Amino acid sequence: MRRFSYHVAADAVEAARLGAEGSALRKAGGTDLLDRMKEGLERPATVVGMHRALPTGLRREGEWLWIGAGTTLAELGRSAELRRLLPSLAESAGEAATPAIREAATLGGNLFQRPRCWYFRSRHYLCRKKGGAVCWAQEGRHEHHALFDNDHCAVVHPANAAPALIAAGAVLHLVGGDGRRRQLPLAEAYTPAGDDPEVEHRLAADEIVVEVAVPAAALGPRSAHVEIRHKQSFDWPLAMAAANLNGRPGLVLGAVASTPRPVPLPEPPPADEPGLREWAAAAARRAVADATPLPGNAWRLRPARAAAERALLRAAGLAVDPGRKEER
Amino acid sequence: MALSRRDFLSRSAAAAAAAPALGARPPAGSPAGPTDRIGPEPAPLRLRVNGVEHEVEAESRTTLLEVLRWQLGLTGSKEVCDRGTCGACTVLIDGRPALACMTLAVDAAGAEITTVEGLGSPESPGRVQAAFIANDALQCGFCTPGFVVATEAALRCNPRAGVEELQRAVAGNQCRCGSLARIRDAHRVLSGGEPAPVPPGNRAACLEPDRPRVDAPEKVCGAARYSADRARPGMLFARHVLCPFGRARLVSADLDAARRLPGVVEVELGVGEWFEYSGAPAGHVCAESPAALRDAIAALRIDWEFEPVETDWLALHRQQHGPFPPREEDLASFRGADRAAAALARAEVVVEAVYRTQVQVHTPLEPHGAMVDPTEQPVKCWVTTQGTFTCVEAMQRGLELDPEDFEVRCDHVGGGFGSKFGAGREGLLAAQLAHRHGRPVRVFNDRENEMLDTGNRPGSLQWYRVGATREGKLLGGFVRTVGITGIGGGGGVTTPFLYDFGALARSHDDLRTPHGAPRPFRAPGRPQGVFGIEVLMDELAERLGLDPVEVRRRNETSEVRRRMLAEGARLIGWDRRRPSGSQRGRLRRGLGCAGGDWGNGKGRCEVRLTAKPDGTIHIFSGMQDIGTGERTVLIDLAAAALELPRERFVLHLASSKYPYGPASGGSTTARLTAPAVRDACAKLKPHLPAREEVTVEGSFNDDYWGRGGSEAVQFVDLVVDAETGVVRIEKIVALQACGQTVNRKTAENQIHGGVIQGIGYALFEDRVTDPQLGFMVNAGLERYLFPGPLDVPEIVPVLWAESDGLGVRSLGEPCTVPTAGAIANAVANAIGAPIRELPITPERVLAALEGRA
Repeated sequence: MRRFSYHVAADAVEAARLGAEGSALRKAGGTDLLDRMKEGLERPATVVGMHRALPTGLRREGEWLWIGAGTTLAELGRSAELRRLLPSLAESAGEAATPAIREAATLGGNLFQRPRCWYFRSRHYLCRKKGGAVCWAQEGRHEHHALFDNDHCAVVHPANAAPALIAAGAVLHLVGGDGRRRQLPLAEAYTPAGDDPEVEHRLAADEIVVEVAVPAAALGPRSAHVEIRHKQSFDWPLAMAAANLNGRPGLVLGAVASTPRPVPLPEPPPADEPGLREWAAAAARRAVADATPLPGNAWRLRPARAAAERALLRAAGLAVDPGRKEER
Repeated sequence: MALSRRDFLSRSAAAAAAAPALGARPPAGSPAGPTDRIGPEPAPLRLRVNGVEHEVEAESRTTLLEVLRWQLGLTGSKEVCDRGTCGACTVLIDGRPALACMTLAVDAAGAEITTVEGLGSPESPGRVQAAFIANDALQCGFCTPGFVVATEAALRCNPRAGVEELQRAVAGNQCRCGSLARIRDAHRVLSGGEPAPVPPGNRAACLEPDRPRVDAPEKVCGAARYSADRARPGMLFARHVLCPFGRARLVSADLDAARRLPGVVEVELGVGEWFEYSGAPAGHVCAESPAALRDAIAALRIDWEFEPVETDWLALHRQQHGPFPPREEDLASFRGADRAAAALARAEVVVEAVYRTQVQVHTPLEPHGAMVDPTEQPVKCWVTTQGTFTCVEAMQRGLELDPEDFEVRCDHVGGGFGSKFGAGREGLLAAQLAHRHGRPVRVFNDRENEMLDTGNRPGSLQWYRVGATREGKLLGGFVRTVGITGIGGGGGVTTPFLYDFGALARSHDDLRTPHGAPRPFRAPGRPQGVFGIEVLMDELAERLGLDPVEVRRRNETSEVRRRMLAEGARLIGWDRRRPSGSQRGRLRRGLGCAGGDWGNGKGRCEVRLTAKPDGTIHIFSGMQDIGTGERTVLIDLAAAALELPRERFVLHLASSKYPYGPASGGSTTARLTAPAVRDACAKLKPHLPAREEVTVEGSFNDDYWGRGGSEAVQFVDLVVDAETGVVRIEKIVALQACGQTVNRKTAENQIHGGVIQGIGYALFEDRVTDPQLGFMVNAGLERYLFPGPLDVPEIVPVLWAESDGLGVRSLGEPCTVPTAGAIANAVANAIGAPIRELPITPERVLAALEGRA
């Protein structure tokens, strides 16, 4: 890590403003930023600490569930209230990374961490995401890379918490360095790598997310998050999916494209179990039908389909296998 | 809505972002107060660690781990990955687990920091530490403090945490030796349960049936000092700079910028040179502090000119040795081709297949390195090594001293697995720099350097064409093996092995790739050979419609393994095995088995015993304990031979000034130690009790050699998810002969470790290299996968002792030989298609399923 001056912002407006100055970067839990700084990918002259600036915790107000952007993943995972209101988020946060990382990592940081592509993450490779001319994954090793939207830059979006929140129709509450405020649906916050690989979201340079609001219609027991992992202890998922059947049905795939990938669900879920199982299987097939995998990662379509189907079934309160005990 | 921070708060917040106890303590500053600006210059900082206030000096970028290790001397928190991916530096911050390497020291100010040293001492261990000691939940001990602290954190969060909750709490901790099943036992006890039952017969087979390893207390409390923990005033820090690419020229580097930085002592770099493999040393940097070292390397701004390299094994084989698999006309050149062709002509069934095993990287958690201190007399060389005496030559060369003028030490070693014979290029550099500058010098790899070029298990290509009778009796055939050896050699694949293959004609070559050279890796040659052989046996059984165990029994070369096959089949419930491919559901169960073995050569070993009038007996041995339990073996052997309690013995280990002992390789240490200790004890016994000091020397002695071999058989029970290709192993029964077992717990733990490393080899581990430039893209602990706590099945280690008069026999290596083959066969049984390539990733399982359909 290069030397930096560390400014601990007193409030959100200051964090937003200071973070836009020069080469400054903002730090919440720091689990992603310090990793990139240690690799030499980032060399900020100033780091803006946001830990005094970001709200934490959950609250119900009006027609929304409000979650502070500074809430740690561990708190989300432990929250009995969240398990009741939005189990998909509690599950995704409670299973992300490792226990110690979850204690430091914040919700805001999880949503806006940078991708884990091994070429992007290595100082030895200059790739499109770093202003270079090549996506090394295209002709290189890309088993963990994107199944969709991958011809320009093949990263996958790593945020475990994003699919659950997008499936619930969550809205980001942003604060600008001049004190302005704005709302942005999370589904619209991310930009695909095909547009400009160096840009990952639609937040302005002097904007930060302070709260995430989930509409009451999406709250309730009928949501679930499923990750398919090769290794069970600490591994990035081969694919993940979150489903929310509380209000308007939502299904979002993660770790398959440069942004979380909402899947259209044309018909409402049938009420009977056989019908529901068929509906979930059909939706999951559709979810990967228009994929454009690279030569070395087409096999991940099968786990991605399984993640989608299982998320829908579990959100509907059904076990993955008929007659088998739910393994939640 | 008004913009007031208080509106958002559902409770008191504002703990340091990296200090995770949000809400657990009052705000660190007034919300309305001025912005804090810290650094970049170093500034005094107050930290409260283990209940004591310390004033340290830190830059804003200084991590808590750096402060703990280099300023406070609290080296129980280990530096392994430095990226938050291993858990070895886990501490408590206000009671919650935190990664010290990913925590800025300034963010921890005002918090209550607890390290492993704060949880207990060897004399008075804490509850978690006591459970780890009693359940032998460690081997090398390098990951252990992190596991202890993470477990403590979970218990503080929920005092009634069950075993599942505790296991999930350590899911981010990486253990390389494979003590994870023992850690689960400790968790069972901590959650109010009973540890796993001891397999029947294991107690009776051992000299010491119940007591834990002797160095457990210091390891679980963070008191054990590894060579990487050694620090001295005025110590310099140095590291190699490696070429990351398969072929590249170091075009330019800003040497002046690096040399001008404060605290930089030496910068040497091969500017203008070509480097021919990924991991080739291009130079080194030496500086006054870890930060200055990193700054200097960054300031070099090295510009590489790289060329594309070929990394595809089959393409390289065509270039170097012709087509693979061999053409018909190539077979005539195989050794014994005529007899093999005749055997195939007689055969009623012929099986032909290509098998492939990956490159596996040792990945010891304590990276390769040394700290050499020329200010002591004799010069102290703290090396992390598997062989005290294997380092003497390099130190002699680097220090330009005679061996009597320096001492090689390695009190504790954080894993090696075959990669740490000698002092390595790291140790040599430390010695050279110490000699040149007259100051203590520490050279330890960072994780990327460690992954690129400190050895590996070579990959292999194996082609078999083997004939058999209709009854499954092997007649002979052809086998072509290829070792994938980077820039080195030694890619031998052990085959034929285990079974009588009849007239087998062989050919072998090593294949050069632009990567680091192999080094011995736990049972060199055998896991790869056994994978091919054992999958072939199951393919043969499948073709003939015979039971795989029965086909093995018909071809077995060992009567011991024949009996093990019967007992293992009983223990795993082999009669539950369903015909391969007969299952249609999502979850499909598979059973499989495989065999193994290891040699038992004799060799040199010496030991010295000194009996003192106070009743203590001092054991002197130059040997090292890399986590295998050699300390424990020495004491338990002597205690048994002299019929005295353990407490009477004082051990002096791991110094080149002590009597010669072998390196920890080839499973030699225990089997060569035992005759030497018994020899010394026989000489000492007449002098006991000693009225004055008596010293005797013992050495390896045929009279105490005894009988016995190191046969192994393992059975696996697992479940495959046919939709995702994910394999979940449920149980492994490991039958293992090792002659007379000395200490039950350390021996069973060795078997656990062999099995768990075998699971890694079977399912996870793979050096993934970029096919364009040759760099290992998973050169870190995030993407180089080996089993974690949630990936380890129930393991039943059965200590196999058939007769009296057994000598101590090889154990560390044979127990990792069968695992991957047995797992592959179980997967094949589940899905109805052979698995011919390691590791068994979801991709390969799905491809096998698809190929079948």
